Amino acid sequence: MKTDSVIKVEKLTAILDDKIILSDVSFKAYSGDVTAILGSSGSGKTVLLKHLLGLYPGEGNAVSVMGLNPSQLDEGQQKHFYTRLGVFYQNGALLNSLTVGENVALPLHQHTDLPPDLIERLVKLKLRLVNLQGSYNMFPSSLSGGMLKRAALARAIIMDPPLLFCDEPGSGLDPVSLASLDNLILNLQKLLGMTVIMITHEVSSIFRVADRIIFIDQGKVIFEGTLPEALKSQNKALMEFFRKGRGD
Amino acid sequence: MTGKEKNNTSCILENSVLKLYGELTIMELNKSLYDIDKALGECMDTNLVFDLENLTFIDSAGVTALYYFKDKLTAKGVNVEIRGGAQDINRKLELFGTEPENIQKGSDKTGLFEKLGSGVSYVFNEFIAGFFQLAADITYWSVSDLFRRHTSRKGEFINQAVLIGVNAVLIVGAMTFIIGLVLALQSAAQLRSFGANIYIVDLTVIAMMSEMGPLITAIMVAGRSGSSIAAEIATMKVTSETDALRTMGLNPVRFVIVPKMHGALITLPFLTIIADMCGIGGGLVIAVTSLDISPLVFIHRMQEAFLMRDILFGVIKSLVFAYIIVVTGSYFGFRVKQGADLVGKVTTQAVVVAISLVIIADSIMGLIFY
Repeated sequence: MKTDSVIKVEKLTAILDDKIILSDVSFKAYSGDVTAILGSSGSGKTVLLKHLLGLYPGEGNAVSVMGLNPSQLDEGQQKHFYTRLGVFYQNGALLNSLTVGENVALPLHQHTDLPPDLIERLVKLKLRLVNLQGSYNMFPSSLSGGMLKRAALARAIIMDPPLLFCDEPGSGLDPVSLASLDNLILNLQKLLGMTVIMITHEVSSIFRVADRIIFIDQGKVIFEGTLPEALKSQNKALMEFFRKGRGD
Repeated sequence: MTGKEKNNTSCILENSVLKLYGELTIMELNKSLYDIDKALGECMDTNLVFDLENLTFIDSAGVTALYYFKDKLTAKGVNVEIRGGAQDINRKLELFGTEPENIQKGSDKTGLFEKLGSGVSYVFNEFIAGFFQLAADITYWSVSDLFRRHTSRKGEFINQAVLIGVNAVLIVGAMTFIIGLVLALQSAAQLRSFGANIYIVDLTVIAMMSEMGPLITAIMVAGRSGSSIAAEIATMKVTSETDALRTMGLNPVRFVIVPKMHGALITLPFLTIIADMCGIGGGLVIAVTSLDISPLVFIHRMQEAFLMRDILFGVIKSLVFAYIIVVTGSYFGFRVKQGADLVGKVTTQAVVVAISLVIIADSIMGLIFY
């Protein structure tokens, strides 16, 4: 049984506009795993992600990421914390006014004093890892949906983070592009030795990449376990999620 | 020999072998680079070995940094060998060590005249031709839609007239009143010294009717409506609304711009007349308070200074300005291809270019009319 948890959430309750979004959410994510946080739209996945990233103010110590409570860090701690994790947003969130190379280099410019030619090498290495050679000088607006996602992934891993968050990485992609993106994430996870937390509702992705499943329904964690355990679970909501997701 | 204690990585140079210890990761890379650089600074050998035997961990940034040093030294004529250590480190050297593709920076060897020619051609094709093409398109549809009212959107013309004209009355009126006030105030002292107080009326009326009224109104409308037209069309382009209109068989120029053009052409002359009145009102206040000219005398003198021709020229100018503002706003809006960040950029460009064109057109018309 694994004990080295990277993320530990204990009894997290989130209320937005007097509405309970998350209620007593507790789970753990372990080092080196790909943990998929599942749930249908509106189940509270994105709110949970924002709590894990420290983007929502949180009271108490319900959330621990790499041993730190992300919502209660001072400026210096926060800077260090964010250099240790990568976030891959669902729409890419690349800055349209910068080239792909400049976008990917942004964290390096912000957090290091490395010489520009070394930064360029690092950026080109990461672009090569995501199969985007030759796009260094291109602008995000000239990339296809799949390329945009891969460029965003290159930016997310530029600091070699031990922890990578992926927020709905497959949204808007066709099945072939989705499969190749999943494989890319999996390869990079192994290559860079990252722990991956993937927020998704793509059942096909879960089968391809997930080691562990956390299923959220109406703001509550109703299943936590490995993928084989999830498939054997008799939980109605989870069964329904897998059944509908597979198109049965 | 160079060593360090605080950092995870340490390096020692001995007999042309740079031994690396600890972890070489991005988090400590700045410090590691400094240490390695310092150690290598003492090296005079032509053969060098990077010994990774004692390295416990390396990430992709660490591998890239090693190859970065290798290439720098090779360029100086030093043969560098990277001698791997643990299996995991060797695997990472293999995975991340491949030379990334070179960026084609391209050498710029074009001559001055070639550069000048291609620059002129670019400006003409990219800006001027496009501008006149759109202007022709808008003119054609604006005129033809006057006779085909059933094809236009119901109520849109009124809506645009309110947005462009009626909603601007207060701000245009207030601004021209203040300008009339300041103009008269600045002139009052000079006129008083010549005993020509009464000419404050002529000065204010002529300046406001023929120049300041139309110009200030156009500048205000360019700032208010020109920017909003550019932003609206640019947003429509970014969100593919213009493509959607085309695929529904609707011409975006007719659907979006023509009502704005009609609205601006109808309201700007009225707005200009209101601006003229407000500006003269400002002059009246100063004439009464500073130059002891009674309101009745002011109005009587105004009738003499007042020429129908000035009003007519003001109205013609305002029509030209309205046309320039709408075409410029639309042109910059349509220039956006993709990317939300460009919306702000083209909005600014639309206002700057519209105001510049308005001033140029004003001076040309000034030369023609007087």
